[in-house]
Amino acid sequence: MQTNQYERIKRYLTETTFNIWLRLVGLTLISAIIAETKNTAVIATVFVCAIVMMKGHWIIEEFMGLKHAAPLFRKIIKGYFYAMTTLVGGIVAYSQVSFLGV
Amino acid sequence: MLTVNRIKVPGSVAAWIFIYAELTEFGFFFIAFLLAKLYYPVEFYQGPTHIPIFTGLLNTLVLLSSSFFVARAMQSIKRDDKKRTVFWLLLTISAGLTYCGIKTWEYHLNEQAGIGPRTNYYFASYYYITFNHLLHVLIGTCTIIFVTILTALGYYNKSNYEGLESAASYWHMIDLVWILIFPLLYVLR
Repeated sequence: MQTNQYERIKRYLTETTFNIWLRLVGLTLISAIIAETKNTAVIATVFVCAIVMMKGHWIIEEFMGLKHAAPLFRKIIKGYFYAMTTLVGGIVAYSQVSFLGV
Repeated sequence: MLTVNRIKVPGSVAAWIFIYAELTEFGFFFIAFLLAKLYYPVEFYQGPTHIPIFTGLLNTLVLLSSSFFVARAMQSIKRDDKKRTVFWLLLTISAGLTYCGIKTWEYHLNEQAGIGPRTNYYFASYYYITFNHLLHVLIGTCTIIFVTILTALGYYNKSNYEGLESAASYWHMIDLVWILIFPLLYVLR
């Protein structure tokens, strides 16, 4: 009885969707910690953008279910997301270096 | 004989065209925000320190959880488990409403701190983007309420769930956009 319960919990925790959700929450907390440290170094910006890209990748592939969808649909949305994140990271880093000298 | 090759995509192609249109709209907002940041670097550098990070963090966690709930609802309908589908969809609706509540609270806290859309260019952009996103969450919540009613009435089953999947894809899009908004407005300076 207890083993069954344990197996159920173990199965739930290792289930892909739940696992992805846990990873997304973990990465969000890391971003929040970076925000709290008020770190304005370019390396912190790059790190936050890398986190955003990872989160977007998992949401698009696993939650949206585009992993096995028509490649064009997946490429458009991933291309958009990666391009936007790169643009955000690039301009924030440029602003930090050029105007604020951090 | 004419053979029709269905494009393999979650939901309907029409819903995806709508999703791409919405993403383009937000893309323009982001570009406008970044251009303003280049023109007013000091205002945009100081801006995020004045808004409460914890409400942004809470909303991120709520939206990520709502995406998880929708994904579980889709898994349930594919197993023809309507009761569980409705259960996960109800959780999604609760998450949508919680998001709206937290956002209202955040605006209230800003108001108490003397911050408004006319404070400076950073806050004008902040209110424009977040309020627009809030409207999308409201539209998404209404859509999820609609598909929940249809599911409860037995309209969707394991061989017919395109409408439900389209609503789920729209909801994920809202989450995806917020994933970019959170660092842009609250984390990166």
